Amino acid sequence: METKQQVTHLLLELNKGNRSVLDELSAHVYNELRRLASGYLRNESFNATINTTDLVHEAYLRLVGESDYNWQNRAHFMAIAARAMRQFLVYYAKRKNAVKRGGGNLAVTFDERVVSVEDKKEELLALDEALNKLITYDERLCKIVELRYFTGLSIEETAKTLKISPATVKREWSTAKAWLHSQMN
Amino acid sequence: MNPETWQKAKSIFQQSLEQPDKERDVFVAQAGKGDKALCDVVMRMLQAHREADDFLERPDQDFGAVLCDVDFAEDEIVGRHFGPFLVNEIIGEGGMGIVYKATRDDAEFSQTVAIKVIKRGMDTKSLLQRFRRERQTLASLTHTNIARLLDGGQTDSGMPYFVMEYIEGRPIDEYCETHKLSIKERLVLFTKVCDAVNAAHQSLIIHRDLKPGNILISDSGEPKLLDFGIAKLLESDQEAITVDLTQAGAKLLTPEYASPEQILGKQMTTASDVYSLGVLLYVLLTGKRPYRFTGKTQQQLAAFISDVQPSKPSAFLLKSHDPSKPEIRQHTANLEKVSKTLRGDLDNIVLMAMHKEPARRYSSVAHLAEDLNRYLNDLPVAARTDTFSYRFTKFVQRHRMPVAFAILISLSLIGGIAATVWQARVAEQQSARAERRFNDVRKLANSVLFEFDKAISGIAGTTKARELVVMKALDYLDNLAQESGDDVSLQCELAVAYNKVSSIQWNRYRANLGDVDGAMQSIRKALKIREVLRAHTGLVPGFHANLAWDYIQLGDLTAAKHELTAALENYRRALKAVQSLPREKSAHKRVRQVLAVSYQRIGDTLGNPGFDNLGDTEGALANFRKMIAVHKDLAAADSARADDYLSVSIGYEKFGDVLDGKGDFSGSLDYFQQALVIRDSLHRAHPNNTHFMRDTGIANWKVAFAHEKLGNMAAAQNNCNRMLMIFRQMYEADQADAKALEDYTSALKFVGRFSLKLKDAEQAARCIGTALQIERVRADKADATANDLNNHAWSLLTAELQEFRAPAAALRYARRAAQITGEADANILDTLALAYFMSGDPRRAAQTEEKAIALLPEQSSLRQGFEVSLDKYKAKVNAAGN
Repeated sequence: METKQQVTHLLLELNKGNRSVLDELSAHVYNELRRLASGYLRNESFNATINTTDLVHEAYLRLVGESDYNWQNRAHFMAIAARAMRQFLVYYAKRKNAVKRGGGNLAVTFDERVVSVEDKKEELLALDEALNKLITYDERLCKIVELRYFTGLSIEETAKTLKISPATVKREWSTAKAWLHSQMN
Repeated sequence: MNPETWQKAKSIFQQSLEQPDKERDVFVAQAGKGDKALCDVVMRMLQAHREADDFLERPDQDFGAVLCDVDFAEDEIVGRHFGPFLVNEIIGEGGMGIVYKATRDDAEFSQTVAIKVIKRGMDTKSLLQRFRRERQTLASLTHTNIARLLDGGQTDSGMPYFVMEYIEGRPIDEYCETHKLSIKERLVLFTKVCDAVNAAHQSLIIHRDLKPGNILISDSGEPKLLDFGIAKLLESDQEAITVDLTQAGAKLLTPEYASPEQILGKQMTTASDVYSLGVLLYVLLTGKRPYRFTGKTQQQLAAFISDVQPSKPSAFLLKSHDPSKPEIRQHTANLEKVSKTLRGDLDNIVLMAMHKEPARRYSSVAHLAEDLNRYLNDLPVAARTDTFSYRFTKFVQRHRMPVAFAILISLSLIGGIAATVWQARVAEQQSARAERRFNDVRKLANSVLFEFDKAISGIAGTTKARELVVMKALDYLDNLAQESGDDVSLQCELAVAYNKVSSIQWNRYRANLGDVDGAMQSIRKALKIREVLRAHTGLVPGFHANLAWDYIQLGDLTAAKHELTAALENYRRALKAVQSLPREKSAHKRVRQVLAVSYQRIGDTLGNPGFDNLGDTEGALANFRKMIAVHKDLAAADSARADDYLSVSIGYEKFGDVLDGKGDFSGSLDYFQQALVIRDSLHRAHPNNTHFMRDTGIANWKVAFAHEKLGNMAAAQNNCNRMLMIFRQMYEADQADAKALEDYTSALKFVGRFSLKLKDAEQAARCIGTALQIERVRADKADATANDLNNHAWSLLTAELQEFRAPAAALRYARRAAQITGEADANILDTLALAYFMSGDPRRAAQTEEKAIALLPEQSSLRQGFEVSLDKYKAKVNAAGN
């Protein structure tokens, strides 16, 4: 599969320290997540409970494949996927907001949905803003939040991905939560 | 804040967390060395830390759903052309899709329209087909209060869209609030809406999705109804296999306004619109919806809408009033007064429109409007409250469980009395009086255990009740067994009772509680008693028949654990138990029956491909022939009953199964059809018996299967549809029944695979998707069994459609299943191995498969398949190594 080879190659480059491939790699991950998500969507009855972690893992299997169990590749991949998830969600929240604000009074049809995630959109936007601030002085903290919150990785998985100890992740996660919460409220 | 300050703050914060709670503030002040800004940052973080423990902690599935929801093509549509229309902006978004405002910009004339682009995921092809078919009808719907549907089509990227008259206005509920309309004004406005809906009904168009968002009021106060007929276009018209669409469909509608029949996916009629209008009237009169559904699952929702009675609007108005939000009901200063206005007639009108049963609602929207007009003119209205006896009947129909509880209570009472009386009896040295009382109690208890279970086991929805009965019954039996001494007849009764309990806990065919180990314990208790008694009783037909039945149950349980030689041994013990009777005694009907069943089980174990078997097909056919002969004799007798006919059909089916396994499909079809004829007539004669119902489903399945193998696709499809309908009905009747769920999902997967063969990928996706969804809901429950988890994991690995396969998720489920069973179930380990393999870890796959094989006895037919998998995994490991 051609994409697979490309992605593996790009990850290899990244491992060598070539950060210029990051954009191209992100595009692949972003597209794959999108493709997967719309695949789930096409089968409407199935998507109700699909969870983010599965989605990201599935994308990894498809893009990097069964044979590659290189932890470094996986770590890079997870970080990129976490960033992609964040972009997705913020984009979604922004658009939802625009629709509400711009056209609220003129709504021709407005079907309320059962999904409760709509309630989260304010929080998402505020969080995104706070994270943009955080990344300028503590990139690792920002990464931890992306992995934990946006892709749903556990403390252990996050530790593995970032090659730090679970205890450190726990401490950093508490710190990030406290700081973000103090910023957002 | 600069990076250095942040590093300081972070370090102080993290150190302070290691201090005792009370000393943190002091610590921060000291560490901050008088830098007030720094201390402030840390103090605020500490406060946040205290307050927000669950901040950002979330169940991780929400975002997956959001992601699946985003349709990125949507934004790209603005600024593009749809035919003559230029899309200007997004004006709304909802469950069905996005609505855009567009203008016609050619020289001829200018026109503003609303374009609704249907979300991806809808069944595009058939949707457009239905649109073309309905187009004339919908276009003919011209009414001043109904927005016209102008056109429809498909975007370049294949998404269907509808062009509608553009309406400016506000949703009716919002309009009433902002204009502070009085009750009377609201009613007048509402009757206008009724008139429009009624006009549509006369053109045979049902709205199906009436709600405030679809009823806009212009500045001049005229209502306009949107989306007439759209909901129908979005539904499938194939009734037989639309199971899944109840779910896909339900996602689209707004549950607060949906009628019970709509939620349950049943036939919708004009009465469904009457219901939605009833809810709308409720909202307009009270300012609030009668139900709130945020955060409920589909199933809870369905149960809620079809079971929970709404409060009377007048009472709800007072109850729901939130004094902290006075703006909610600005239209009146005095809630009490409004409530008084609603009390009586308006309460009755609303509740009659919203009746759970379509037949008890207003027979048409016109009647609803007429009743409102009568009210407005102070005439007596037609709506009345339900009578007490009507409501009581409904209560009993809805609450089978309490009836079971009542019986339980009497059961435990009897158990207690029995024990006491027994002790009294021993103390009184076999006083005749005590003995008589004891026997009375015993009889009563037996009749409760047997007759009660017999009475409810055939009724769908009673699994939970049976579970409780079993628990109580075992307590009671164990007590009696300890005290039974040398009372032979009591011991016989106990053995029979243990067998009964065992088969409620687990048995091979019928609805059961899925407790193999419990069943094994119970049947061993029965056999222990019987083997002791055997020496004393002599050759009594009834006793030996029961003994044989016990061995058959034990054999079934050993077979379920894949110990085939042991199972065969137990079945042969059963056969011997009845064959040891002299000829004149073996003519007894019960003896003949158990003889036939022994042959059947031996046949199954030897070579029925439907079971774990020893691969001896000729041996199997020989035993099935004997089995059929005995059953035919029994069915020919004057005393023959339904079960005797059923048994013959089971013989045919098994014979067909073996032939099928040998590749003789015209032979197997012949036997399967003979079986189906018998099953059909049994099901017709006993429509409420779930056993016969399931049997008929299975017979259809087999016939479909054989037809398919022979290439008779049309005939196969016919049987498929019948099968799916039966299993769906059974699943919906009792969702706690593990077997019904497994039957239904297997049926869906079968039809999915079959649809793929017919090149109907959409149908296949719907069936497989529904099966996976049902399994997933079950597997995600906290009390999911290893079996639930294993089934779902296996489906995620082997789904016929690639897009449904999800190895990472499967791995998660399989791991939990393996954990629950302590890695001691071969089937589950086999699934886990495949999950490892498909997730890219062939080494662990091979290790796990080896463990699975080690658990299987040498002769198990499963073993072969497992070994093939192991070879595959090992090959992959070696390939990776080279």
